[in-house]
Amino acid sequence: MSEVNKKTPFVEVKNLVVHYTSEGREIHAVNDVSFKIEKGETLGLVGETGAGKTTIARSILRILPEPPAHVDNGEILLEGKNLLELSNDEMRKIRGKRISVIFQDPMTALNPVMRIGDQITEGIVLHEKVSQRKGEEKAKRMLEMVGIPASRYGEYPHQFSGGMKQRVVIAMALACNPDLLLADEPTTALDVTIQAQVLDIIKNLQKELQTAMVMITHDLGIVAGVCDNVAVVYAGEIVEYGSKEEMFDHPSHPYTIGLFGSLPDINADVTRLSPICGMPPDPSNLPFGCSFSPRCPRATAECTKEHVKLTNIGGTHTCRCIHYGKEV
Amino acid sequence: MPNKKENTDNKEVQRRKKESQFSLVMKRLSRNKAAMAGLIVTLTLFLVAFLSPWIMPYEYSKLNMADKLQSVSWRHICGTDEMGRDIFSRLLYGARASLLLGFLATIASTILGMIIGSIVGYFGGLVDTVVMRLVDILQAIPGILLAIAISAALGTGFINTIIALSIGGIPMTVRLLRGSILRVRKMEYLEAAQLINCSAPRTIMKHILPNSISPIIVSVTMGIGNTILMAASLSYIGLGIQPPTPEWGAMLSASRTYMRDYPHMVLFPGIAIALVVLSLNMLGDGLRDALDPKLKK
Amino acid sequence: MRHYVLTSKCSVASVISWLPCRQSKYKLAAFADNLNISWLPLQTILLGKGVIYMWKYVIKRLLWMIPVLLGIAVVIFTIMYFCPGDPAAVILGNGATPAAIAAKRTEMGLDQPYIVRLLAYLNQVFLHFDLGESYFYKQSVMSGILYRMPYTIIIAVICMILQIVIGTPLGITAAVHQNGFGDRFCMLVALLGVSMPGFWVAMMLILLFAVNLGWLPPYGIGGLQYYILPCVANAFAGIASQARQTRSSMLEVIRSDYIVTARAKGLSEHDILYKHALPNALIPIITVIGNGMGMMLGGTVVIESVFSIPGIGSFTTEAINNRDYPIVMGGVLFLGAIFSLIMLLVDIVYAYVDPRIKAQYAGQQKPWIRRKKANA
Repeated sequence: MSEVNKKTPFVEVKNLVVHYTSEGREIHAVNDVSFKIEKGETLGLVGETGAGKTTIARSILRILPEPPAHVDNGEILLEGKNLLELSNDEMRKIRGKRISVIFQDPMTALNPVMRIGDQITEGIVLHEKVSQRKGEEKAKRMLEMVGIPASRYGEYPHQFSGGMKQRVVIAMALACNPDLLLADEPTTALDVTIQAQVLDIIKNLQKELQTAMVMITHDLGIVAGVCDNVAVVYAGEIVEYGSKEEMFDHPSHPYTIGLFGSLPDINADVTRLSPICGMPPDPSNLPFGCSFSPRCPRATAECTKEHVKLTNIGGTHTCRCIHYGKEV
Repeated sequence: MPNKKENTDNKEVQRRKKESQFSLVMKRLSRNKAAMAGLIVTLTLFLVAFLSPWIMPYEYSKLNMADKLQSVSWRHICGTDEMGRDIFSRLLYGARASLLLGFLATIASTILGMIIGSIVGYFGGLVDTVVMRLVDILQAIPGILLAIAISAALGTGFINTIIALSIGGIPMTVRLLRGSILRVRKMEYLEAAQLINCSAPRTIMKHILPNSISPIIVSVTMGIGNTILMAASLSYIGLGIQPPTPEWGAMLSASRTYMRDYPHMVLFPGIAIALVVLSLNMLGDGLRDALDPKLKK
Repeated sequence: MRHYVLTSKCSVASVISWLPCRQSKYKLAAFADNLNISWLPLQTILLGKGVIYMWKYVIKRLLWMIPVLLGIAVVIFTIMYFCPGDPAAVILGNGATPAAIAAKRTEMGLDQPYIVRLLAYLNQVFLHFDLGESYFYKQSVMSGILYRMPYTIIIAVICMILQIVIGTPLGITAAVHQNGFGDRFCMLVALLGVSMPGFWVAMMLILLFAVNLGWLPPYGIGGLQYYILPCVANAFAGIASQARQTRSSMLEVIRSDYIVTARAKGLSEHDILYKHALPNALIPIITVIGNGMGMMLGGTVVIESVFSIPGIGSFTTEAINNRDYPIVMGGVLFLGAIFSLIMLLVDIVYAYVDPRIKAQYAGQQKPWIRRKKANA
C-alpha cells in the first residue's frame, strides 16, 4: 500500500456514505462524512440521538449489520490502508488489535455466562498469540489498571455494578494496545460520579498508550474535558468541525450555537430553558438543501435551494452554513 | 415567527403519532406473505365451515351402502367411507365441529387464565404463592394426558370436550398475564408512584392489557391450532367427539381397518387437519413477528 | 483412608464455621493452608468444582418434587371422582344384588366423604405404591403398568434423543444461515411438522413403508425394525418444534450486544457462534426440550395405539374403551410422575449451564475458608 509519510494522517475517513434499508424505506444514516485523526489525538463526535454517530463508529470497524446497512461510498484509511477493501480475515486481525470499541450500554455488552476475566483473556490470546496462562496474567494486570481487583477475575458480569462492568469493557478494549479507540457514549448509562472516574481511566490509559480516540457523545462537558478536536454531526453530516478552542470560543453553525445555548447556565437568572425548537429530520425523508433549515432561526429561501458545502472559516475550523459571518 | 414554528412542530408530532400501533402492525403483517396466506386460508375455512350445511354436495350422514368405499371420483371428490357417506361433505361439516371446538376451548382457557392471572398479579403475596403453586402442579401433567383424563371422566360430547381441552391451557395464560402485570407494576412504581396510590385496579388494567395483548393474541392463534390437534387425538382414541358427528380425528380412527385397501380414507381427513393447523400457525408466526419487531429479521 | 480423613476434617470445618470467635477461625484456616489440604467436601475432589454448588440446589429441587407429585395425585383423584358409574357395581358384575353392591361400597370405602377418600388414596399411592385394581382384569394397575413400562420408556428415550440430536443442530444451522435457502426450506418442513397430527403421520408412514414398500413392519414389537416407524412418527413433531424454537432463541441471542462486542474483538464467526451465542441460547433451548418431553409422553399414548405396541399408552387407551377408570387414571398419574422427573433433570442441567444459578449457591461459601486452586 502507499508509504506512510508524515503527511498521511493516522486515521482518515473520506466521504463516507451509509444507508439502511428497513421495511421498504431507505434511511440515510451517514451522508458524506470526512475527518482525520492523528496519533494520540481525541476527536469528539457530538450530536443528537439518531444523527448517525454510532453508524460512523461501527462502519470504521465494519461491524454494521450487513443486510439492512450498506456502505455506499467512501474510504476509511488506517495509516493509508483502506479498511473497506480488506477481506473479512484481514479485518478480523484489525478488530480488537488495532481498533477497538467501547459500547454505550455496559449492562448488555458482556457475555452473561462467561467469566469477565476470560472475556478479556480471549482477545489477548487471539491477537498476541500467547499461551492461556500468559493471557490470563495480562488480563489480571488490565483489571488492576482499571481499578478492579485481580481476584475478581473468575466472577460473572451479573456480580458487578454498571460502572464496574464498563471498566471491564474498557480493560477488554485496551488489552491489546489498540491504535484507535472508538468510545461510543461510554458514560451515558452511568451516573455522574462514576462518569468522572471512567473518563479519568480512559484519559490516563490513552495518554499512557498513545491511543487515538473517537469520543462519541452528546454531552458538551465531556467534550470539553477529553477531546482535542470536535465534529458536530447533524442528520448524518458534519455541520461544523474544529479544534476544541475554536469550537467553544466561536461556535458558528446555528445548530452548534443552539447546542451551546441550550446548556443551562447556573449563574443566569432565567425561568425557562432555551431548546432548539422542532425535531430532528426523518432520516428517510431528509429536507432538500440544508438539513437544518426547517429549525434554523437564520434560515432563508436560499438555504433550501441546494446542498451546502463545508467552508473553512479560519484555521482548521469549518462550517456548513451559507450565512456564516452575516448578522441575523 | 416562534408561534408559527410551534404550530408546525405540533402538527409534525401529531402526524407521526397518528401512525398508530394498530395500523403499524397491520402494515408489517401485510408484508409477510406467509402470514397473509395463512390469514386468507383461515378466514376461508371459517367461512366454509359456517356455510357448510348449504354448500356440501351430499348430506353428511346420508348412508348409501351401494356406494361404499369408493375412491376419488368426479362425483365424490374425496371418495366415500365405509358406510357410503361422501367424505368431502363430512369433512366440510366436520370443519364446523373442529373449528368451533378449537376456538371455544382456546377462548375459554384464555379468559379463565386472564381472570386468574389478573387476580394473582393484583393481589400478590400469599395469593400469588398459593395460586402459582397450583398452576405449577397443573402444568406438571402433560396437556394431552390431562385432557385424556378429564375427557374419560366426563365422557364424550361437545361441551365435555371443551372443558377437557380448556383446562390444560390455563397455566400458560396465567403466567403470561402475571408476567405482564409484574413488569408494569415495577415500571409504574418507579415512574409514577401516585398512580398506584390513587388508582383502582381498573387503572392498572388499563395499562396492563395493552401491553399484554400482543403475546395473548399470538398465544390464542397458535393455541387454536394446538387445540384442534389435541381434539383430533382425543377423538382418535375414542374420547372427545364420536360419530355420528363427523369429527376429523374420529374419521381417521374409523379408517384404520380400511387403511390398507382404501388409503383415500386416511389421506383426506389428515390433509384437512394439517391445512387448518398450518394456516393458523403461519398466521400466528406472522402476528408474532409483526407485533414484536425486535424479533424480526 | 485419605478420603475418610478429609471427610472428618470437613465436618470439623462445618462445625468451626459456626464458631463465634474470629481469631480461632483464622488460625484454623492458616493451619489448614499450611497442611496443603483442601477444605472442600469430598465430592469436589471426586467430581470437580461444579458439583459442590449443585447439591444444595438438587436437594431443594428434589424436595419440591414431593408436593408436585402429591398435587398431581390430588388432581387425578378429583378427576376420578367425576367418573360415571359405580365402581362397586362394575366390579361385582351384572348379576349383583343391590344389597351386595351396598356392602361392597362400604367395604371399598366409597361412602366416605371426599377428604377421607382423598387421604386414603394418597396413602395408597405413595406409601404402598398401589394404583388400584383394574375393573376389567382384576389385576393390580401398578403391576400392569410396570410390565408395560419398558416399551414406552424405550420409545420415549429414542424420541427424546432424536429430538435433541436432530432438532437442535437443525435450528442452529437455520439461524446462522438466516433467510438462506436451507433456512427457508427447513422452517417450512418444520412448520408442516408441527401442524400434522402425530397419528396421521404414523398412518401415512405405515401406508408408505409397510403397505406399499414392505420395508418395515406395520405394527407390533420385536427387533429394532419395529421401533423405527413409531419413533419417527412420534419424534417428527418434536423435532420440528425443537428446530423452530432453537432457531428463534438463537436469533434472539445473535442479536445481542455482547455478540457485537465479541465481533468487535475480532473473534472468528465460528468462535462467536460456539463460545458466545450457543451457551446463552442453551438456556431457553433446554426449557423447550423439557416441554417437548411432555408432548412426547402424551404422543406415545396415541402412537402406541396406532402401532399396537403394548406400552403404557395402549394400556390406557384400551382401558378407555372398557371404561376401566383405575387404569386410565393410574396411567396418567404414572406418566405425569415420569414427566416431573424429567423436568427435575432439566432443572439440574439448567443449573450447570447457567452460571448465574451456580453463583447464587456459590455465594453461600464462607469467605474465610480459603480455597486451594486445585482446578484454577
